[in-house]
Parts: sequence; C-alpha cells; structure tokens
Amino acid sequence: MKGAGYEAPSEPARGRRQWRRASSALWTAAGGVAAWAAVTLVAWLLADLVRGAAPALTWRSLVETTQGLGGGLANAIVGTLWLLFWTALLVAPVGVAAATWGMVWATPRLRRAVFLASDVLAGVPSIVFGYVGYLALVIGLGWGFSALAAAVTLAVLVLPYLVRNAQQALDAVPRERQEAALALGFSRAAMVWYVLWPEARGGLATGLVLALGIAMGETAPLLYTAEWSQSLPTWSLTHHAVGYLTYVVWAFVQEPYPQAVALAYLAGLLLTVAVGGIAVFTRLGRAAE
Amino acid sequence: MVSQGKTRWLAVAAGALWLAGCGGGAPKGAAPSGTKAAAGAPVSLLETGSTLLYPLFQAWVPAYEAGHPGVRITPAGTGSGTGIAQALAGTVQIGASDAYMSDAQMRPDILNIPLAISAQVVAYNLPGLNNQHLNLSGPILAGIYTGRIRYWDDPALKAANPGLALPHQAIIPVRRNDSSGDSFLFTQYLTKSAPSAWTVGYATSPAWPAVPNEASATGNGGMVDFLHANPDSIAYVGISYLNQIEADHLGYAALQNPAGRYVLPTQGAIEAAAEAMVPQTPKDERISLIDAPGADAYPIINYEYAIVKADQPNAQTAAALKTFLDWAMSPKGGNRPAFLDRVHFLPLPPSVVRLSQAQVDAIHG
Amino acid sequence: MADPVPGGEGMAPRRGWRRLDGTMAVALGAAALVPLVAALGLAAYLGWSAYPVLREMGLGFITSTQWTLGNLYAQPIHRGGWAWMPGAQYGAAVFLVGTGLTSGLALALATPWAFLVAAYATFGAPPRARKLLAAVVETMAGIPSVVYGLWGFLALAPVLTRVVAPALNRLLTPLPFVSGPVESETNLLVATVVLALMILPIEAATLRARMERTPRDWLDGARALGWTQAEVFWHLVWPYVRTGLAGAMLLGLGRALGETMAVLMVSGNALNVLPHDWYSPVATLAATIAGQLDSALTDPTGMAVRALGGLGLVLFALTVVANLAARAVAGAGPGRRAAW
Repeated sequence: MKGAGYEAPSEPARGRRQWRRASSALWTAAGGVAAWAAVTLVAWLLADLVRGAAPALTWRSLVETTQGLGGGLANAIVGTLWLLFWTALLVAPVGVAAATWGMVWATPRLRRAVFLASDVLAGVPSIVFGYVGYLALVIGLGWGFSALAAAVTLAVLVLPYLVRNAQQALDAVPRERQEAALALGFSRAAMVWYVLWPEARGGLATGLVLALGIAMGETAPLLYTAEWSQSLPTWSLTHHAVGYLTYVVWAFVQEPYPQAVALAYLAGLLLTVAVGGIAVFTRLGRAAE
Repeated sequence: MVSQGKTRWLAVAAGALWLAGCGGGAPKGAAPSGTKAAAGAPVSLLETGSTLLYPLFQAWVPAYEAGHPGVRITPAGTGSGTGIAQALAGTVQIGASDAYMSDAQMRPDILNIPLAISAQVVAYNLPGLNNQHLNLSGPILAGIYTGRIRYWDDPALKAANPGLALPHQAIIPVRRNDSSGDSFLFTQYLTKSAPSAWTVGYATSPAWPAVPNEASATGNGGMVDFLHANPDSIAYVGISYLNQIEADHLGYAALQNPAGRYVLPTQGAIEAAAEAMVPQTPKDERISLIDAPGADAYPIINYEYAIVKADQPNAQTAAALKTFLDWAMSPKGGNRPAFLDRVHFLPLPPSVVRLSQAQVDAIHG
Repeated sequence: MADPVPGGEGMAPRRGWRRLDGTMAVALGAAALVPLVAALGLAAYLGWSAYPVLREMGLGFITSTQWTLGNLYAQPIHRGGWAWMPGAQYGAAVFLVGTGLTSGLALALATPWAFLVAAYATFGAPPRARKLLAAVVETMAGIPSVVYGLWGFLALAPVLTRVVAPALNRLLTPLPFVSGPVESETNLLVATVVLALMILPIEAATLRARMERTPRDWLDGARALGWTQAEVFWHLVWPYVRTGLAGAMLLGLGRALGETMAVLMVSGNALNVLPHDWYSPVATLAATIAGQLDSALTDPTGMAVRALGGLGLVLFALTVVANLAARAVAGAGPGRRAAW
C-alpha cells in the first residue's frame, strides 16, 4: 500500500477561494451526473422490461407451455429450475469440498494454487464452455441435447464462484473454534464435519445461491447443450432437450411478431426479478449472521 | 436452499451425483423416451432448422398433437444449416431445411424428404416506394451484395425500374448470420442468373463478399424485423413471412426469370415454375428448382426438406416419425390448403409424394 | 446451533474418524483439483481442436480478414493431411479488431464513468443516495447478458442510432472514425455503450473498495481544515485509488472480452469486413463463436468447427491474461458479478 509512507500535503493556498469553490462544485456535479446517468439508464432498462412484458403479463403466460412463438413460459420456467437443480447437485459437493481442502488440508502454497486455478476458470468466457460442452458432452459422449449436458456445463462454469464464496464462508468461522476442536483430539475430518461445515452452513448456502444466480442468467453455454424444448422437462437426463428462460429472450426478441417480443420481455423480466430476489435474499442472509 | 440435516443433504447429493453418472454412462442410442412404459410415456420428436418452414411447423404441431396424443413435437426455427447438422448428429429427429444436402454431407442413411414447395421473396424498406414492386434481377442483386451497386439510384436499378423516383440513399444489404437455406437459395439464384458478377458460389453459409455497410440478421423473422427497423435496407426472406412483410408495410420485388421477364411471387408464378421443374426430380429428391424455364415462372422456388436419418434409435421413434411425415405430406393432412395457404406454400404434386413416400418407407427403428 | 459433538462434552468422536481423515483428505483434495483440471482441459480441448487450422493458416489466422467455409457443395480436398472444403479460409482479423474496438471503447467510456460513480457514492452523495446507488450498481451487475441484449436491441439501439448519432454527427463531422453515415441500428457504437454498462458495476465496485480504504481520521482532519470535497479527493483519496485503477480496468476488460450474448444481439456481426467508423457493424471473437457455430457444423470436414475452436483459444488466452493481471495488480478475482 502506498498510503503507509504518504505525507499529508500542506494545506492549499487560501487565496484562490473562488477557484476552489468552483472546482469543488464542478467535481461534485460531475460525480452526480455520472451517478444519475447510471441510475437513469438502469431505470430505463427496468421500465422498458415492464412495459414490454405488460401484454404477456397474464396468468396463462406462467402456466401454459410455449407453442411456437406464442403461448406461455411454463416449460422455460420449470426447465430453468430443473437445470439449476442438477447444476446445484453437481457443483455443491465439488465446490464446498475444494474450498474446504484448500482451507484445511492444503499447505499455504497449495492453497494459493487452488484458488488461483479457480480464478483462472472464473475468467473463461461462457461461450467457451458452450463450445466445449456441445462438442465433448452432446456429441462426444453422445448425451444429445440434454439436461445433463447443460447442467455439467453450467456446473463447471459456476464452480469457481462457489469455490470463492465457500472459501469466504469457511474463512469466517472463528479460528479458535477450529483449533479448540483439534486440541480436543478431533481429527481434521471430524473437525470439518462437526465444527467447520455446521458453522459455515449459512454462508455456504448463500454462496451456492449466488452461484446459481449466475447460472440462471447464462445463455451461451446452454444454446448448444440444452437446446430448446416447448414441453415441460422429462425425467430423462440425456437425449431430451430442455427449455429455459434465457433462450426465449434471445430467440424471440428478433421475431417480427408482437406476441413473441412480449414473451421475450416477460422472460427477461422474470430473470431480472429472480436475480434481484437472490440479491435481497443473500443480503438478508448476511445481515442475519 | 438452506440445509438443515447436513448429513442427509450430503448423502442425497452424493446419491444424485451417482445417479447422474449412471445417466451419463447409459449406452449411446439408448431409447430417448421411456421404452419401459411404452403405452404411457409420449414419444418426443425434436424438429429444428429452417425458419422458412418454421411457421408451417408451428401450425402443424398443435393440429397433429391433437389427433395423436402419444406424440410430442418441439419445433425450433434455427436455420437450415442447423437442421441438417443436428439431424446428422442425431440430436434431433427432423432437421428442416430449404437446402438439399451436398454430396460431401450426404451419407447412405440420410434422407432428404420434400414436405412442400416454397419460394423466396426479395423484400426492402424504401420509404415512399414500399407500395411499389421494384424490378430486380440476378445481376443487380449480385451487384448490391458485392458492393458494386451502392445506391438505390444506381443506373442499373434505374434502368430496370423506369419511371420510379429512386432515392440517392446507400443500400444496406442484409444477409443471414445463421446458416440458412434462404442464403442457399438466394446465392444459388445469383450463381445461376449472374455467373460473372457472383463468383463465390452458393451455400447455407456462403463466403459473403466484403460490403462496408452490410448488415446481418438471424432467422427470417430477424430479416423482416431488421427491414422494419432500418430504412434503405434490402433482404431475402422466405415466402412464409409474406403476410408479415405486408403487415409491416415493406415492399417486395418482381424478380427477373431466365426468360427475361420480371415476375412477382404469386401462386400462379410459383406453380408455373414447379410444373417445369418437378418432373426432373430424382429418386433421392435432391434438386435445385431455381431459375425454372417458362415466361411466367418465378425464379426462386424450392422444396422444403425434412432431413431424416433412416436408422432411428428405436422402433417407437421410427414409427412416430413415419406417421408424422406421412401426415405432413398428405393432401388431407399437413398439405391441406388450410395449412399451406397462409404461408404461401404449394402442396407437393402426386409424383413427388410418391417419391417422398418411398423414402419415408426406408425409415426403421 | 446444536451442540456439534455427539456423545458429551470433551469427548473426541469415535476412532473411525482417524481413519476417515486420510480418505477425506484425498476425496476433498480430488475436488480441489477440479477447477485446475477443468481450466487445463478446456485449454487443451481448444488447442487440440484448433491445431490443424492454426497449422494450415499460420500467421494468417490472425492477419487475414477472410473467414469463409469454402465451397460446401463441392468435394473436400486434402491439405496437410486433413480434409478441407475448397476455398476454405479462416482469418480472425475482423473478430480480433472487433473485440479490441468494442472492449477498448467500452473501457474508455466505462472507466471514467465508474470512477465518478464510485467517488460520488463514497464521498459526494447524501446517505440516502448512497444506498440507492449501491442498489443500482448491484442490480446492474446482476442483470443477465441476454437482458442487456434485449434492451440494447429494442430500446437503446433505435435511440442511439436515430436520435443521438445524428446529433453526434453534427458535432463531430469532419473527424474520422467518430463520424460517418449512420446506416443500421446494430453497430459498434451500440455494442460499445451496452458493454460499457455491463462493465461499469465491476469497475465501480473495485474502485469504491479502494476509496473506502482511505483512513477516516485523515478525511475528518482535512475537512476540519476547510478542504473542499475535490481537494480531499485528489490529495487524500487518489493515492489509494491510483493503484486500484489498473486492476479495475483489467477486470472490466476481462469481462468485456468474453461477453457474448449482448454483443451478438447488437453488434451487427460483420463478416469479412473491417469497421470504417463507429457506425459500422462489427463482430467479436465471443459473439462469432456463438453466432457461427451453427454454420460451422454444416462443414462436413469439421474444419470450420475447429476454426471456431481457434477463436476460442485466442479468446481464452486473452481473458486469462487480463484476469490474472487484474489479480496480480488488484488482488481481486475475476467475475461476472461485482460485490459493491
């Protein structure tokens, strides 16, 4: 940090009061304009979502399945949840285990390596996951367009976020409690099982939900793994395409038919509301701890 | 998602992982839908591909499912190239395509089955002139899509359209960004009618020449949408979107045929072209219908193909697929005027139905 | 929380746990390898996939502007032991330039903007506005890419091209690149603005975290001495922010480079042509992989799919370098999300 050896500058000359006042006003005004520009654009985006979704905002849109470019979003909503369910099942054990190993068993150097690798993975663009997911899982392993191919792709994509969130959750468990358990003769495994994970439970759950929030908003990794289906998802995990909300946004927005565009807006609105809900939920969860 | 019994939760997770692993390990070609409950579980057929055929599939599917409760069909408009590729890969049962497959793509067990006869229109958004039908020819369109003709008042356009007040505005040529049978039909028309001006050949994803103000759109819907939003643009669009083109107050052109006449895509003009070309259809039904002879023939017509693998993963899927394809090409089923008229398609002539029928019969489980 | 140790206080769990310790270390250690294996696996897959194309195209893969699948209705020919369609050529220059331009311009727009937003939120704004800004920035970070694309395509693009662009043209007309004929609604300018909005929250959050580190008593002292807001900021806070700025920009860059859906929907997806001004259509590496995969799958030799793998490899390398640099400079991990 530069601040440590920093010398406080002498007080600016008093003679230029006018200039100082003007420059300060200008500075605050610039900040205000920048901030309000961002607020305005976001407000515009949200208002546009609501306006565009209004024609499709009916009960039927939520309970009916898609028919061509019309109908409802039931298949996409259930499909999204279905994909998230499998993503969670795949990613939760791996992510929590990886973070736990990094925090408990790894030497400092290995710990850095684990989290470095995780950060590298986090930087990989989502389309790369989609490309490899299609070629390796859908074609290579012959799973076809399927919930499994999509969920595995999504799970690898969000794994680094869960690893990082889980690491923070584990890090928040007081050191003394861990050390006390070990001093009592707990093996490290027992300490993790009886102390670390129970203590970090809330944080781990929050981390998982945040990771799933990212998965929910993804499109590029799903286009060629889940493809699209206008039926509700089936129990078969392979060879059955799955519908999901981001597909509707991407595919229906370019259609010249008003009802298709309204459905695209509705899907976008549902996604945005869900993401907002997750933000509120995790905020409350953190505040409660 | 807050866990309560952490032990139970982890056990469930581990079990699920294991199950998922089993699902993944299932042998290739395993029944995609419940073979166990043959009577109960519906057979699921996936269709993807041509956005030109998509509006027809949208009309077909609810009608067909109503009469065949054991089948669920999901259509998707993704572009003909996707239809071909995914049918080949076996990820969908029906690949819809406006383009027949190339020799290099063909494999012995792949069928190109025509379902209807379609056409393509060249549409534009030229404010003030959208209620007129411009005369356009292969050489003019080749000039526009290679960047040699840059303005709407180019001498070539003026010569073909005497008396029209064409504006001095830059033309925005719109091409498809996805792999498209319409790109295939359009570039095949350019290749046949303007061989000296259009030298990059034809394909579902052709080698588009560099035009500085080119634009691209996804799907036929995207093309119409783009035209609507961007004045001075021109695009090639499947005729199944003609109603939308008219609803959006866009214009569409009369195209020059080999006889030198400018012809509008009317039902009569498409019929005239089909009559000339249909008798030449070979057994595997892969044939270009572009630039049919005849004074009144519209130059860009085509078969709408279902690209299907003869060898299906199981008998149930094969049977469902055959029943559907039979229905689709039948004059009492999918080829009824009630379905075809609103997308401006023509029904398959009986001679072609017989050829298609023979191909459908080759599908097996 | 219930007593975590069953069987009474002070009692260590059963002996079995000793033996379990080794098993658990191995099992969890294996999980810890997954991110590394996944990252290496992705890179290796892309490299393996792209190898014949990179070998055949050589430097041309980067310098050529021609991206064509060749004559797909001809018979494949053999070149260097691999089957190719005649005329196939894979040059990524258009996509590299497009990626550089969209990311660079988005960064140029978003960085000062994020800087001002962060400064205002930390020092200038009244407490209520601070809360609102925090909520807004978090919302921006959470909105899915495809929703930015939806809004960009249907709402922002018409306004930018039909209202803002003509005004900008009147202002900037003799200047090259930033002025020119406005043609279609999908172009570099729209892509830039959408991307800038998407990276704004990451940059703002990173910068704000830096600004918060300024010691409170310095700030209080300076204010007591009668310093203005601007003086406080430039003399006390800026030294803390300066080092974070590069990190924030690199994080933003890492996200901008890899952004797919929003760019795919608003950029125009140019092929074989370089942009001549900022109203031209462009294409980026990521959007091209997403948009051209379906076309590539129609190539019976599979070479087009491999060529897209080459784009993926270049993109992978660029984003990993940007994110690792950000990590080195700012100590922050990359993310699709920003914690305000």
